[in-house]
Amino acid sequence: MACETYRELIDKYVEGLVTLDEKEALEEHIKICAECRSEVEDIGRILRAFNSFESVDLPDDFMPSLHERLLKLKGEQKSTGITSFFPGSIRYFMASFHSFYRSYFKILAGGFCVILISFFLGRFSNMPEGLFGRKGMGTEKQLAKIESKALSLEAAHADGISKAESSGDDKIQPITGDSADKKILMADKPKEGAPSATVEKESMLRSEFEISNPKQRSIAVNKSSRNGSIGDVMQTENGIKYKALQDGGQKAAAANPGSEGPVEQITIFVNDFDKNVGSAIELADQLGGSIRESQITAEGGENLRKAYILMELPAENLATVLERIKALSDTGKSLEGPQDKSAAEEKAVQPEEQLMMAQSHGQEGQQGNTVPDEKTTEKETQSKEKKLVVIQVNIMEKEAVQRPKD
Amino acid sequence: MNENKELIYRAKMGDVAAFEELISGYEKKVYNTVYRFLENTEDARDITQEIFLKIYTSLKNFKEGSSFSTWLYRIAVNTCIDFCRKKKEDALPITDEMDGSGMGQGEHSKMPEDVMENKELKKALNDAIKSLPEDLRMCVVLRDIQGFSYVEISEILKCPTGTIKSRINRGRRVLRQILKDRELFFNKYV
Repeated sequence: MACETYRELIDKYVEGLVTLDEKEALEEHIKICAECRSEVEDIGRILRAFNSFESVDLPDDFMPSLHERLLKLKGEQKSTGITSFFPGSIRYFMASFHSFYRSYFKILAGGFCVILISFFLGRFSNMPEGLFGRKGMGTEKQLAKIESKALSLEAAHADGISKAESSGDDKIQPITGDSADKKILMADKPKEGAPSATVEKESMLRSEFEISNPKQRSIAVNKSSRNGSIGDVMQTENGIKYKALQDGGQKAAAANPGSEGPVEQITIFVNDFDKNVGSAIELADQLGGSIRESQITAEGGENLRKAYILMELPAENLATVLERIKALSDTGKSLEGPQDKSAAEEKAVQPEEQLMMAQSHGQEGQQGNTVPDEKTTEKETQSKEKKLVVIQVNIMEKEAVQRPKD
Repeated sequence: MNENKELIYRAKMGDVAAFEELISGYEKKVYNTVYRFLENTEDARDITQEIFLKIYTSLKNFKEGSSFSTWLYRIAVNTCIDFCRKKKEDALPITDEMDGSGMGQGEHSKMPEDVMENKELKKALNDAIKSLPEDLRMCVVLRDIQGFSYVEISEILKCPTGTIKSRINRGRRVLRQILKDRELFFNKYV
């Protein structure tokens, strides 16, 4: 091997950076090559001499002189620079704030994203299809569409047609065999125990629809506050299922004394969300009740859903229903009946105890913890006198579970 | 690291105390690098101060996320090279005021032979370094005297590592040849 090839190896050798093989090869070579041996010794001596160079101390006046020049430079910058716009204290505050901002930038950004997502979820969760544009035309338009569909089906019922055929809107189709579908929360079938006029009216006016939209998942919309003209909307994994409820407006509301609000509210936490929602609905059926409204929200993520169900049932079965709903809970523990807000909040901070809240409130569809007012109490009394009461059942998904896909 | 960022930001806002805290620890090494490159104490003092003033005013251009140390030494090296070029243009000779040993010529006879030889070698090396071309000189100073790694030098000088290695190899050979020609260093080995 020519000496030229050892040139770089010599530098690595004297710096102690060669591998064992390289070291052996070079040492073998310099045994027979005087020039390379001389070079190794010379470069080695140069490096040793460099290593023996002592560090030179800074001149004594170096730092004071530098400090003076820095202050002078700062003064010049102040008179011309943008930093002179702010007094020193404000600049220091800005520097501190910037430092804080940079230190916690990720946390702040994360928090902002969560708030933003929460805002949009809250803002658009009522949209039955899509978020923006034509697909997401909004709850009002969608419900108006369904309402008109319900009205046409009402006419079909009057003509003796049992089930509506598709009527031109290719997005809206009748649901078939949905009684076994636990994801349909609206068990609106009229009950024998209910007042006959109401039952007859409702049986004429209620219809069910499904709007296909495979992209949407499990967000339910309730629009029952629109004068009772429309019922419930529920999105599932494979589509949005609507239950149109045309109860004849004021007449039906008048015939139903419990329509103004629930007299009882019970909340249970469950693992198997779908099964227990279905069980709660079946329970209403079994005990002569019906579902007036229902809603599923997914505020805690798609696997942390909340079901809100307004049940109308005979007053004499109230205790039984509460007891059996309580039993649906994983632990069987529950609190029920009116209770004040502070007590409810106190319970809410104890998630380990499978919180069961029960409280009455005066506004339909509102899940907040409110203290019943005099008006509500009066209506509750009126409702009980007519042997028909409404309760609100809240079913909370306790933990994320993998829901089977349809 | 966060503390360093805060200091940088405060220094950017004109806080001299923060700047002085930021550069504490760098002054001596920068001064030594400059001194070894210029081989003149007075110039080294002035240029080192110039370097830190330049860093203070240029701090707004420093991109966070890059190495402050590398950025600082890059400014130091470029300032040194600019100074040398300017001095060459002005045709002012670089005077040798200090040999790095801190020892006068008259003390040679009092020293043991090996130590004396070492002092002679140092002086000879100081002279030889000044003779190196700037690009080779800076690489040799940063590597062999200041102890920077090849990667650090390549970042400071913005050159590939291979180029840096090549410059250092050539610089050492030039030094060897200079010392050989002057018959100060290798007489007894040749």
